[in-house]
Amino acid sequence: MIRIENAHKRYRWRKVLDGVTFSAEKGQITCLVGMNGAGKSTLLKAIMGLTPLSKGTIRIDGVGSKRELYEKISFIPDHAAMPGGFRLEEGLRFMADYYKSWNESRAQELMTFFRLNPRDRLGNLSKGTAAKYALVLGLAADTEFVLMDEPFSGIDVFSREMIGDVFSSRLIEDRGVLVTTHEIDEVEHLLDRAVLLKDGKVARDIDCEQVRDEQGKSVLDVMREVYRA
Amino acid sequence: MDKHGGWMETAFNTRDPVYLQVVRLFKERIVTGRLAAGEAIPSRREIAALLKMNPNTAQRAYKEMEEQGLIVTEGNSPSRITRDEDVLRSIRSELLGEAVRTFVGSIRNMQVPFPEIVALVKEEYEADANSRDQQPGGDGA
Amino acid sequence: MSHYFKLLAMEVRRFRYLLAGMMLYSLVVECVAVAIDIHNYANRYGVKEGTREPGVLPQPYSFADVIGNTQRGFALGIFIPVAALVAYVLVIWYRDWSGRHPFAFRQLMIPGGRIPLYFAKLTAIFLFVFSMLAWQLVAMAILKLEYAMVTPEWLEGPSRFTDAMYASEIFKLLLPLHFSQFLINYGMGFLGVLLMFAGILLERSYRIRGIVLAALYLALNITLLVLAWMTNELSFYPSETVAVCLTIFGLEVAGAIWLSLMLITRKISA
Repeated sequence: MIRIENAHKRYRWRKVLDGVTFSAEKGQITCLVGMNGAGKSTLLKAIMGLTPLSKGTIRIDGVGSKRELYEKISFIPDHAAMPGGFRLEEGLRFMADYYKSWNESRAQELMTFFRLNPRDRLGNLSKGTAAKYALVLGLAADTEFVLMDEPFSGIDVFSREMIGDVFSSRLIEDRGVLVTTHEIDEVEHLLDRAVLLKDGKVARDIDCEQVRDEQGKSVLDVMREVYRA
Repeated sequence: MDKHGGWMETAFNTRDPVYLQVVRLFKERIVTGRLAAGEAIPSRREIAALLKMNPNTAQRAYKEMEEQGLIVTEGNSPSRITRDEDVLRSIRSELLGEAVRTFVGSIRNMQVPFPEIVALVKEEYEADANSRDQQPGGDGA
Repeated sequence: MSHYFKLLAMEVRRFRYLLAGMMLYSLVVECVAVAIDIHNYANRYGVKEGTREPGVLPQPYSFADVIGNTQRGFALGIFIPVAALVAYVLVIWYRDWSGRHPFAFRQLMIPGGRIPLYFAKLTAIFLFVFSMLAWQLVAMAILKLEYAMVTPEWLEGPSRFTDAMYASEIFKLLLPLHFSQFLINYGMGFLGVLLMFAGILLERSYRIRGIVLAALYLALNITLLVLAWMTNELSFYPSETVAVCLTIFGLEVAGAIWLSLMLITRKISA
């Protein structure tokens, strides 16, 4: 379980996170929802130690230290995080070089599934294709958790479909997934939980099926209540 | 039918629980004969991929169907549609009842006399049956 | 340790074409400078052996003379690569934060910590500096060959390789004859790179506030060093001044490394 408690973060004068508390369970797909600039990406980066929090704690399965963090959680930012001059195969070799959890056969499988050419250079790829490559780099490792930052934003519709397929595949099964988005459509029916951020705080933390079951509301309905108010 | 058994044409609505929509989908397939009594059904993982849904939800749907006696799972073999005639009959009457209730609900405000409705239903039913006779092998139902 | 060497190898790989380009550049500039100089000198005495006045023997023009007279050409050939290397002290970090797919994310997430990353970049800079220095020695050998081929025989004069080297002011700076001077020059360079790295990491951690902090930090370190040097104007013995300078130098090196490692492991933002 990834547990975030009382997270605070300010960028100069603006409070981006103002006491955020929530958890993402293993074996579940949790979505961090919020408008642009609501601090979703900051939270993911904070979990990965890519930016310090001003205050608050982050625990992974009850442990606060960063040791083994990167073998346990993979982070898929909204870009591929590799030099543009690298060929795709060079990026895969980089991952294989540094990660014990790297699973080369899964990487090859994913490259085939997304129809990526290992000889292509990253800098020449379209945004949608680069996003697929970022997924390969993040999903090929045998990690317990996967964090994804806006996997659908600014990407063509067919790439979106392919990326959406990943969520219902065994690539995700049994792992904990924490995904951020500001447009819920693609993932709405895939989610277990949704955590809605507003004004630096958690406005709602819902079990999606339960809200449908008990209130007959979609996640989008709940978003309307929160963000239109 | 495509190679995925027609599963992939399914679209979910966002306001009803997804697992209940899956249960409903199975019931419809049983009643229409696309799933036969005793037929093996896809595993939880397979159905999640086919319907593009969360594997946890697939798990929950299968659990619900097991509780309702819709499917049976023995040991490690794949789950199968029940052979229990009572269950199958009750599914049929459940769906039928629901459809009729929906129909009645939608015409309730039109204040149509009952015999006229019966006549209209009969006419529509026969026309539909005829049009299906004229295109044999349509759905193969 | 294996991560350190892999990261170092990667830094070298990413800079290899620029390094090769710089080497080629300085060799070409120096070759041209030498050729022009010899040509000019020979012209002053008549282009061909047959055309000069009989009986008047010109001064032989040794390789050391050529090097001594082509210092501006050498400056051009060496200054640009030096500037490029100084700029690369910044670029080696900032290139990873730029572009469509900022590599910093990936580098900071390498299992086993970020200390190897810092030292790999530091080592890479020094590897490049000493590669360029070594290349200058190779270039000198090549230039000597060029000299032998281009110079008319009647002009050639003997000279020792070291005399040729130290005919150039730049070489006195790049490769001082005395080892202690060598240590001072490259020690200061080393400290300079460490301070720049610490400044960059301050900026990467605190952004605009970081720039202010970095400026203050650099000013503090430079002031301390100058003050240490100024002790020789007080009534200190030279050995005491050396001791003070060495102490300050050591403290600044340790401080810069400590600060940088603290920032890169705890405070930096991708």
